Amino acid sequence: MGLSQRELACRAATSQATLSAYEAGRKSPSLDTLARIIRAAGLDLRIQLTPRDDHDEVMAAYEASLPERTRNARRKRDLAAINKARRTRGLEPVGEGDLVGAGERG
Amino acid sequence: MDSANEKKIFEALVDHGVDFVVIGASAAILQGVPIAATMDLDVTASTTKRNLERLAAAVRDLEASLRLPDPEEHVDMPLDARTLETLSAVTLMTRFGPFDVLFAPSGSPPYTELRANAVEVAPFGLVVRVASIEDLIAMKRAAGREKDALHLEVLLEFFEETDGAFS
Repeated sequence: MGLSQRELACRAATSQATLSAYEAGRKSPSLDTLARIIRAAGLDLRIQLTPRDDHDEVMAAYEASLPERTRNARRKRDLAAINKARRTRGLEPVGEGDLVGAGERG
Repeated sequence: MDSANEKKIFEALVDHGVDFVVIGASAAILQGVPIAATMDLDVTASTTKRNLERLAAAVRDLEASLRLPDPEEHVDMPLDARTLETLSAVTLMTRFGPFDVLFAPSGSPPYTELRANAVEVAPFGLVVRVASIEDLIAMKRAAGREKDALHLEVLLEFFEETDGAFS
């Protein structure tokens, strides 16, 4: 936008310290304040409601229902594809223990 | 998804000249990120009329039907370009397994930007574009689910490991 923090604060009728706190994540603006700051920067804030995309959950549930043998075979195949790509890029290969699926890291 | 099946789906898309970019776990795997694959193949595609016609033709070749959460449920819906134009996402079951087209994935930049950032890979002798690691990170951040947080961690590690060299 080419605006300094001070200029934007002035246009949005707020202080530079407040803007700085928002940018650093120390404070969060209310929706009204956020819209005012965005307007001051010459932009409009638009929020859109869209239907929730849950197709991943449906597939994850199906995957979890597969027998362990099938899941293990899938992991081996994934690992082969990953290491093939890593070889192409000159990266170190990874092992089964490095493969991350859902819920596998604490 | 089984790589032989994934190849068949890619072949149908490439044969019909569909302008698409692979997203999701497959896009990460094809770049060497150690993430376990999901059952489905996710892509996003250009929504120009011409491209939707090509996509519809590929979907026909794949003998795709709508995939619903309840496998017993069935909706008979023509998967032509006009129908695809009205959808923001379509989850399909093809002869080669689940295949999803998300026209506006959460967190993704506009399609032209995503495509420009994408990386070309040739996993089965077929050149396909996969979303850049940076764009995959943005999409995972937007999804904000527990599973995505785990994948996000791995993507960020990969980005760091490669210094963003492949994005």
